[in-house]
Amino acid sequence: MRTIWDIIKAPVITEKALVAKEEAQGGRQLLTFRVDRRATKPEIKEAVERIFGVKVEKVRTINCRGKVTRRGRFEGRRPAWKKAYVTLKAGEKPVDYGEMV
Amino acid sequence: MKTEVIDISPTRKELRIEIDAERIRAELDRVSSEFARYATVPGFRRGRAPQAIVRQRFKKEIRGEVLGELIPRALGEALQQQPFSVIGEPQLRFENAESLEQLGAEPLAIHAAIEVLPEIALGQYKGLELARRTRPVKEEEIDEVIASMREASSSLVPVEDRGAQAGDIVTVNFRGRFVNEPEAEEIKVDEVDVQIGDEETLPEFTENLMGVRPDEERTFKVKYPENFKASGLAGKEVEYTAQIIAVRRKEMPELDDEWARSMGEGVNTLEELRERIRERLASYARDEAERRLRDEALQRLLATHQFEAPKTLVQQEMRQLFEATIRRMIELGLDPRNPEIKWDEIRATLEKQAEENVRAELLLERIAEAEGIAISDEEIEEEIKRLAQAAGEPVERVRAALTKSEAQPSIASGLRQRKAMNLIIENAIVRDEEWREDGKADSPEPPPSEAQTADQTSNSTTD
Repeated sequence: MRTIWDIIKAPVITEKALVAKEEAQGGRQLLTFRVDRRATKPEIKEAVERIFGVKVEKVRTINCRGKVTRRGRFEGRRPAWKKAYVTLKAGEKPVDYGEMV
Repeated sequence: MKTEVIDISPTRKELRIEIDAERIRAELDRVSSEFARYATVPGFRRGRAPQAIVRQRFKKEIRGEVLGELIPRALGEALQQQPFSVIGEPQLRFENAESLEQLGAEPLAIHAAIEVLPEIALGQYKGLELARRTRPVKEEEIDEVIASMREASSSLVPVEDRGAQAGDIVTVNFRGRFVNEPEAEEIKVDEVDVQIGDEETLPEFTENLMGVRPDEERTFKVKYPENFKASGLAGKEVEYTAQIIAVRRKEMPELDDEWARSMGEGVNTLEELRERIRERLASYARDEAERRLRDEALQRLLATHQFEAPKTLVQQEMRQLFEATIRRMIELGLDPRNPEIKWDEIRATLEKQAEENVRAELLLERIAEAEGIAISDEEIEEEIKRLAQAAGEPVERVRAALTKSEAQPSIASGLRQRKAMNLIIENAIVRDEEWREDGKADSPEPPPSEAQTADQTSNSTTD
């Protein structure tokens, strides 16, 4: 069975994502996740709302192609993944990714 | 920080040191921010990762750093507050190892097992009643010394009117051939001195060289014992041809005033020589009596002052005694690997000895402290000179060696103990009593073993 945990895989914790989260416009937090490639925006919205207990304003997604890697002669590709930018409603409490356990 | 002392024994204590959560958190913050400045975390430029993430990622490292900083500091503070002097390194353990997981959430308790110098309650150490027994010098002992002096100043005189007798020294050129090994190279040794009839000479040599005169030649066989000193010859049979070069006898000087004069500056008669020897023996006996007196005083004090010797020190002392014993065995020609040596017994004796030594040292130090005995730099200097003289080395060399090994404190403590001992003797009531023949050995000798007796069939004729 597919659960919300299968949809949201992990938060994206990078300098860029954290800056975006802190400096959200209009008091809205912008969360960033790696999500299942087949997940839809409504599914992601539902999952984030359930996990963190917050209201989601909107979800934007992007398909990231896996990077090409090389082991000597052999060329390969890391798996492709989907990234989701989740904008929370204004005035929601700050989310701590640590709650995702 | 809170510290509790748990007494285990007079020389063992356990400190329970509690480090406040507050202090841990402060240290945690300090270390984390330190880490955050340099940490490399994927997704972040170096040093840009938020502290929260750094803390999570480098949990173990940060914890190690915090503890490594806090524990020694807390321990140092705790020990400083305590009155006792600590020996060796404290043994540490955490009261609750799981609490390390949430470092900073609650106070951290550590237990430090330490060993301390025992407190010594001084009893009576002045006015001891002691007996000094000086061994009287016996006339026979003087005779013995004179006999060996005569022996030492004897000269060798060629014998012409008779053949060699027991006690004579025969000088021989030997040619030897191994009886059972015709291939072996022949033995060829020239001008060997053989002492006829001596215990150290193999009986074959004595028998076959008896009655020889110079320029004579004799041929005889010698069977060497299995345990002969020179292993190349042990157990072999050799046929020797001996070319006699000289026969000489020992001539003892006449026991007269003239000989006595040659034995020492300012000695004019035999009687004076005897007197001088008597004097010397008496002074040895006095020194010996003094040593015994001190030993007895110490034993007495140790019996009246009951306190425990710290294990670490006893072990340290024991190691030294052990090394000394092994050195002595090697000097005596004993192989410490000999399986017949009863190490268990030796160890037990040494352990007792070590404990006694440590107790003696501590007690004397305590008395020195009570009496305010202090050692000045000049006294240390003096002692270094004395040691140099005893070792026959230049003062500078000894001083350099001692400074290098930082032995200054130990010299000082040795001096302090000696002074304390002197003080005890000065304040004791010493009666001179008659000598009693019950001399007990001062130091434990290694028990005799087979190896010690094996080498006594050495021989001066061959090499």
